Amino acid sequence: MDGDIQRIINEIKLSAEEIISESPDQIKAVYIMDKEGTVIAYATNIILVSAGDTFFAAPRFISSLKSLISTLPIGNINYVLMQGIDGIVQILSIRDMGYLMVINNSEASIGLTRIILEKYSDKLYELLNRLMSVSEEELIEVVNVEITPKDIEDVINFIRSKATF
Amino acid sequence: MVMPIKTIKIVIAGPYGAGKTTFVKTLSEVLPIETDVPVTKSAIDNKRSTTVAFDYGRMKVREDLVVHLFGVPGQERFSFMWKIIARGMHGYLFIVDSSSEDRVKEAIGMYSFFRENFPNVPHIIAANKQDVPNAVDLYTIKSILKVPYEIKVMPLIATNKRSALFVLVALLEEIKKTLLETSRFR
Repeated sequence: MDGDIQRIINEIKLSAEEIISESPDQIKAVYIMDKEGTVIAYATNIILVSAGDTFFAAPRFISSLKSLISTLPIGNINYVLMQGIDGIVQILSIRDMGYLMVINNSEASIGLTRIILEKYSDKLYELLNRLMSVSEEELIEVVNVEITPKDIEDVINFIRSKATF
Repeated sequence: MVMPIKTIKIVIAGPYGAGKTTFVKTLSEVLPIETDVPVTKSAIDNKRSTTVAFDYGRMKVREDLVVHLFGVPGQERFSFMWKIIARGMHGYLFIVDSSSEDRVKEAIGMYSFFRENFPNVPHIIAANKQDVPNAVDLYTIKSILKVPYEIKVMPLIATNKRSALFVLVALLEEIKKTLLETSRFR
């Protein structure tokens, strides 16, 4: 994997860890996703979450929330909150770039966490933006010259001619 | 007049540890594939040069025809890049580790992603590590991944030159077949 891409992903992960450190007694886990709901980085609070907790160890499960979060923003609503017995999920849309999701310990910290989410959204927007542009930039564009069946035949014949054991 | 260079783009997909890098490495031992070379946009538009971001191989077939092989990072955290890498591909090889059913199941998400996003791109499934005792049979792989009837599932031993070549040629045959069918309907 290219160094630039890896570096940006590490920075995103670092931001997730910083968010936890803002409220370590309340925030259980932080997930940062792209606009399609794919988890790019996540961090868990080892004080509040046990290592064996599969919910927090499975970003794939989180990405199954795609259908929900891809509806954000709904008009001017760019934030949703879901409350459960063992925690509260807060999701903030990072403009057109992705989503920031936090799982909280208790409802007492909803307001504070919301402020923390807002605080980091600009920085994450910038990082996700850089990630997307670096990813696209570092790819070769295929020249739009039509490939014919004869071209493929030539490749097959070329392979057969070179493949000596 | 400068002759335009035709580029055939082939993507090697599959989950982490399936054998994508090994596959390209084995091919490069028998075919004149350049690996670890920078992918340069300058080759295309003479504007800039950037370094390679992925497992990559390039094979020059004619002066005006090159084949590019792109390996897709298998980890799910890089899945935001799958679509970007696959853009404009002519075909893809989807490699799965067939040493156990659990390893095959790890490929479900990625394969669904490719099927959903590139439903009409020719591809084949390569069941790697078929030399491992108790490897999962091709029929079971097809069933686990819900591979459409017309898509080939082929055995692969990525470390074996003959096996790797056989799979690559099979994919090229599929691409050729699709091109022929497409041209027939024009």
